[in-house]
Amino acid sequence: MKIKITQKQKKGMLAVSALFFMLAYISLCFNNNIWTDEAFTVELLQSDFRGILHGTASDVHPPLYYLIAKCFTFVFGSSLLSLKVVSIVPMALCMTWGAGIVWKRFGFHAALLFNLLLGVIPCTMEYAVQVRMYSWAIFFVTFMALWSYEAYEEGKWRYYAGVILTSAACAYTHYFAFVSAILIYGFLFLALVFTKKKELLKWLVSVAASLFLFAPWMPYMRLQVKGVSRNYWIEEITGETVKEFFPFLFGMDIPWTSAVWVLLLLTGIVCALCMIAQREKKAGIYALLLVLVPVCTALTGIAASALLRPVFIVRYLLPCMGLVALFLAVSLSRYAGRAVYCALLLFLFCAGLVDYGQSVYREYEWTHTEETENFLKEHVGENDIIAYNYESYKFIYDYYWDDSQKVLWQDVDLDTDRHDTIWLLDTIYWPAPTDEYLAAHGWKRTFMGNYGIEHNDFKIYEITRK
Amino acid sequence: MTWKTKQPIYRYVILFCVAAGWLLIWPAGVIKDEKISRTAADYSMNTGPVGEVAAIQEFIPQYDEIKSVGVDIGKLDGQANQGTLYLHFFDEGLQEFASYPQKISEMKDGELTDIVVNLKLKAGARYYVSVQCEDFGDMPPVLHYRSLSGNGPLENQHFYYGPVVIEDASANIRYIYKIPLTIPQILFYDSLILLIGVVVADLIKHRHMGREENEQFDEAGGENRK
Repeated sequence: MKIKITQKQKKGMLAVSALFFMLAYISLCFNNNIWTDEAFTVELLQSDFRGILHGTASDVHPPLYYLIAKCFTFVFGSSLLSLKVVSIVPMALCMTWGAGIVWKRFGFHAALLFNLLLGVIPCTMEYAVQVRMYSWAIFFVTFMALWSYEAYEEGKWRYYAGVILTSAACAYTHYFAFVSAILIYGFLFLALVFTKKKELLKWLVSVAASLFLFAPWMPYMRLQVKGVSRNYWIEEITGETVKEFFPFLFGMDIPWTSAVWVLLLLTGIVCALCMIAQREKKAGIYALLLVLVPVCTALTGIAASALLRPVFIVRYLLPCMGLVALFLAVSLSRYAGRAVYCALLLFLFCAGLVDYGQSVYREYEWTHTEETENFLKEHVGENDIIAYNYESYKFIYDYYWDDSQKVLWQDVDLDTDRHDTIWLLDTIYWPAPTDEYLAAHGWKRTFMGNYGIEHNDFKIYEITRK
Repeated sequence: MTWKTKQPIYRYVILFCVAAGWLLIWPAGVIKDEKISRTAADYSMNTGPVGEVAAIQEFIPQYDEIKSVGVDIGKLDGQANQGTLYLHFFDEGLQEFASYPQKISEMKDGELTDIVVNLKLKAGARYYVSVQCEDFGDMPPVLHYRSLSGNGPLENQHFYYGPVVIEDASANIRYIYKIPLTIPQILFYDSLILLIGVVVADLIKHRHMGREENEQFDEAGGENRK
């Protein structure tokens, strides 16, 4: 018996798939954990727009995400929860608006698959709720690719306008999203050169318009590149680092998950090649180009790291994850019969469950943030101070305690300090004070336990006078 | 005999393989999740050489199966890089029940080296693991340890160098356990096996359909080919 699904039911299924992931993302937001980069965002958002522009110009990323987040804070407040929701918005746009475009162009099966894949690719769930720019970069890169195809197929100016806006947005959001945008422009150029030479003028105008939109930031980008070439924290890229790319993007906490995703990607490539062989050249080549964008972005990052200094880490491939989902959706949906398609949906749903369980653990159970906050709230008295011994984590601690409540341990003069108790957050990055050292200055320490905030573990010592 | 009559056979074979795969995942448990004991990353002290004298860590495992034990030795500026390090496991009655060799030259210096043991133990029971080297040439390595309080891992109890207990000390060791999969993890592998089964069935079906078409084409003398 053939089951006929109406348009309305199809829309309902897409909406349910999007809603499922939105609810999953929202459920991961009710915590008070932040790590260094998120702490930087929170601190930057306390400035006005001018301050944000100055702050980002002296950092290494462009400013668009921070400006978007700042706009949201005017409406929804600046709580951590509302900032996390800012990162969910682009995922929602991809799974509704984006899925609609995919449906129109590649069919309902591809659209539904796109939603599930985007939600289930292991790294996207983690970064969809981070107070960082990655989910917005995914949105801009994915939409640029979608509208590029529309522009190629239809040749209408409105699609080129979409390409112009999204490419500029990519450049203003993350520099490796910018690299991906340049690659998409490059592939669009090749497609037009080989098949639609008359459209090249539109392409040229689009590139010029994108450059015009990005021009105001170019001097700052030059300064940032100069700064990075002098000094940056990223370590040298080796074979080992490259080997870690796949587990970071596709690995879950259980064995063989990266291998399963590699297998899916290979199957997708085979399907795309079959499409090309079976007179569906355009869609097949488009799918292959989609997967080439992250590959070439990574190669560009590795080459830049070799020529300049290490500037690329696997996290910078996150903006391309929408393209990976789109590539798999377009290629796999073409050859998956009813049974295979249903089995694939079931598998992705189960993978989503594992991924979600892992994210819940990461957001709520892995860190000791709540215990740490409760412990210090309970124990720190009026005349006490919290001391931390790793200066780089000041960003993080600033979010939890203001400067009157905390001090860098290295700045504490035990001979003149007037606090009753010093609560030392002792990380491994600075030697813990020994009993002998403290005794020589008239103090003693008591170990209170292991605590931490997000990726930052420490022991807490109560340091009191003898 | 037509291909259609053969179809059920391959379907049954695939069904059997899928069912067998599911049973291997659960209840047989051929794939396990891993859990690493949580411990501080630093160490601050060295034992004496672990050659003639063994360093012994008393521990209480949290789960029933240990995949590997990470051991952190110091090679004394590369001087202690020869011979074999043995992990000897003893039960509460000090009866040795397992021993695992590891070439010292293949171990990291001042970092954890995971030695695969695949050992079934009883969670909550008391055990001892002794670290001792043989055939070490001039100098055996030392074992790194630190204060037990605040560092863990939770499993570690008393730490001995030879017969002498070192107060408030904990060997810089980590335990990697094999633990059963959770329900969503089982569903992940089961749905993957189902997907593979369905894909294989689909491929065979299409191959047979292709052959049927070819046979029909041959019988018709190629006239039905477009």
